[in-house]
Amino acid sequence: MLQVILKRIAIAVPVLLIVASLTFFLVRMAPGGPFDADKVVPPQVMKNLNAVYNLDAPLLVQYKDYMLNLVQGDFGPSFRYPGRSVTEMISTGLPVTLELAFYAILVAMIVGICAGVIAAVKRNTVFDYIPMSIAMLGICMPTFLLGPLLVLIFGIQLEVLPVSGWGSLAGDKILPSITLGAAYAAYIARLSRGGMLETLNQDYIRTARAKGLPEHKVIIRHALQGGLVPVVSFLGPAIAGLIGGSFVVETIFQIPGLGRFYVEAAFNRDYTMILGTTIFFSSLIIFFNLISDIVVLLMNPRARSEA
Amino acid sequence: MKFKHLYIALLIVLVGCGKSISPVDSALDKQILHFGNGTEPQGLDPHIVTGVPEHHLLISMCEGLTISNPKGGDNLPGVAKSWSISPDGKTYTFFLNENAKWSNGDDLTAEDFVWSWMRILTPSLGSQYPDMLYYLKGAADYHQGISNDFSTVGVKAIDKHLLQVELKNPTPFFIKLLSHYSTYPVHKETVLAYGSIDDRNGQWTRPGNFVCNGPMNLKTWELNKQITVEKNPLYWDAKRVRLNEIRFYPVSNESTEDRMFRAGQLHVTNVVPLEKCPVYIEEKNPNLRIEPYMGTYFYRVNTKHPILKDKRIRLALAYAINREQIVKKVSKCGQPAAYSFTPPGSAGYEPQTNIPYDPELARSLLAEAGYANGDNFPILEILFNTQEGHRKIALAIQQMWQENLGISIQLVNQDWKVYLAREMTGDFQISRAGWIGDYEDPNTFLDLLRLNRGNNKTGWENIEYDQLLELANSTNDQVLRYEYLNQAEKLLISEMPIIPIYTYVRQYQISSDVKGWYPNIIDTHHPKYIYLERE
Repeated sequence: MLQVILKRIAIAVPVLLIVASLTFFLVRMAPGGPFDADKVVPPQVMKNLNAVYNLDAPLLVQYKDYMLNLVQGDFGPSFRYPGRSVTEMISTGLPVTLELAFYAILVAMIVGICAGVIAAVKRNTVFDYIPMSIAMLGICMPTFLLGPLLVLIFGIQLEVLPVSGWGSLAGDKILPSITLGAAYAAYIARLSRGGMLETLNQDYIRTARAKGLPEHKVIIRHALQGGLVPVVSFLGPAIAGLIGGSFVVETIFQIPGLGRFYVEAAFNRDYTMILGTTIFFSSLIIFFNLISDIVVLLMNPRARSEA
Repeated sequence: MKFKHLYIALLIVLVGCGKSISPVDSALDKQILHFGNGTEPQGLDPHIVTGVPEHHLLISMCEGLTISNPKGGDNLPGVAKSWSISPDGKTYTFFLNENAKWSNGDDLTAEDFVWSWMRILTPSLGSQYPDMLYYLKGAADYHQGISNDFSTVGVKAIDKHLLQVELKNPTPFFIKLLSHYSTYPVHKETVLAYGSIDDRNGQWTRPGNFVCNGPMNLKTWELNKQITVEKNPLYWDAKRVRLNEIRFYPVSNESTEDRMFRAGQLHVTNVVPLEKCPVYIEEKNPNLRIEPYMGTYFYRVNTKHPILKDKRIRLALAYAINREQIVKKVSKCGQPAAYSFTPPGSAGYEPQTNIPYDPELARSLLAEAGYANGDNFPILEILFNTQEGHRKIALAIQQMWQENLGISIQLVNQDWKVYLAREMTGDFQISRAGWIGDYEDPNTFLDLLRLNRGNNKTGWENIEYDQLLELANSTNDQVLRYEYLNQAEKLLISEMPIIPIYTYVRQYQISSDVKGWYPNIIDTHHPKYIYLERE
């Protein structure tokens, strides 16, 4: 197991360096710069600004300087927000995004696993068809539609929940968490149904039943562990996706998370911010994939022995 | 039965939540204004930032020598309680208010302005608005490094409360520039405590560190969430300030902002979503405001282009656009059609130009240029930044040119920065553009198309036009000045390097609780006049 982890970490370092280098040159190739504005900046001012941010140095020198700072954990100052460092902005947005992702994954797991397990156990009955149809709808419905729809119903028509914000008004975390979690709940429902169906056909389940164990014990104590392996493998990339892909929900609900910084940085050509957030998200994806692999190894003895 | 219990539980939870009291309702007693502020501000350093959200924040926390009149018209006293102008219009003497203080209790002196203006003109600070002070003697030379001696710049502290400013030319709109945040003073000791005079990354603008001299003080700043400012008891006119707090929300999504307003989370929105405007007009939404704004939506023509360098073709394109139809059928938010570059009514200036919708005249001009019925006319491109509103207008114009002139047009939409880069390098034929005045005077528009102005971008150069602007800015006689400006405007419209489409309006929603808020062409609403009251 330790060997697997060490191997993955050894691969992660060069991957991150390649991501940083590629992003560095790609953003520089994009037309337009961080200080281009509707009202043109006079050439003298542009010269001064470029000097302040080291943009007047040759590109390779800038690359070398950036990478040296990066190795020391310094992402540099944001170009768009003078006085703010990229590290500060990531650390401001990250807790919010993590919290949102946590609630969303909680919603997704509770709803998804319950629906999936019930559907598998009550296969080809109304308890299978209805949750699975809703799940299909959930997968198809984009967050930019579901979010405003929930807001219209619960925020504006019923007036029971706030329409936006995060931690400012009572209950303002409910709608964003449901919106972000819904699509993942749908995936998890389908995955857990599939996993459970496969497990329920296994010999050891038949043995458990033959021994006279009550059905709920068969499912909870024996079938769930094997049935949820596909869900756990999905959770790693899903959490990384939730963190990196919360931009739409953050925008709809006016949530001060990292996703908004990430996308706005690209539009603003905030070079250091684009690089910082890209490297950060890449690390997260690598990290969560590693965690999910470890959990799968722990849950699945066959995979453990193969590893 | 089991599910019945579940339904009951769910109902109890929802009813338990109950209809909550909205922030707007609870703000009345506490006098807290909830303000939709567009986007997260770049920062709060008045010498570094640019943009409208920053403007809203800075007019509440800092103050220049003058402030904009909330009802429009001439500026009102700010830190300067009065001023005198020499007969030649070049020397301004400002008498500062003895009660003006910084929010930490320090006296605000004339020397503070001298140091602050030196800061904005310091090249290494990289301020984007130094040209607001280029009207001062020696300011441009100092900023461009031609001179290193700030004493050559025309600003002097005669004594603690007397500031003298010397200008290159009589600049009748100079008093109006002084309410722009780039000319605001900053507290020298605070700035220097967190960095040098030219430090862009100094931490002096953070809550707890921030010192300024406006009606409000910075209380909290939560990135991308909200900025709260509270009443400054040391402000010289504090007794007039009735709001206790303003909360600025950086809501960049127009639909989110609209929903926040409908749910009582905002008193004032930044905009109304494009698709909602005609609906609200039809519904006679009492909260909707559509007010004149000092901005023009126009098409920029690249006059260096082999086809478009011909004035007749530019005129033909302009005359083949039915502006009335565009504002009624496409933009649909009360915008007036534009027949001049400067919006009518800017500081009493009424442009006397007209751009007829005359397809026949347009066709004959095109024929004169050698393209009768549009034959052999190359396919031109309209460049615009990706936005639905711009696309619809471009589509309408594409169709009008096709029908009226028989020419084909291709629409090209680009990401904002790519669009800007293409405009800057002249890599376009016709491009969508907009211009919002920085101060209430026609000069903020007409100056744009002078020689060597970075914002011209059309490649159009006209010595006569430049001379007219020069003449206008060197006279003290406002009537004569407007006459020169009108001549320049006529010349511009007869050459058509830009094709005006419509005049902007400010469209937003405002709660009926907000009082002391008046429409004005530069959309500046000074917080010291605003209060909340429910009828």
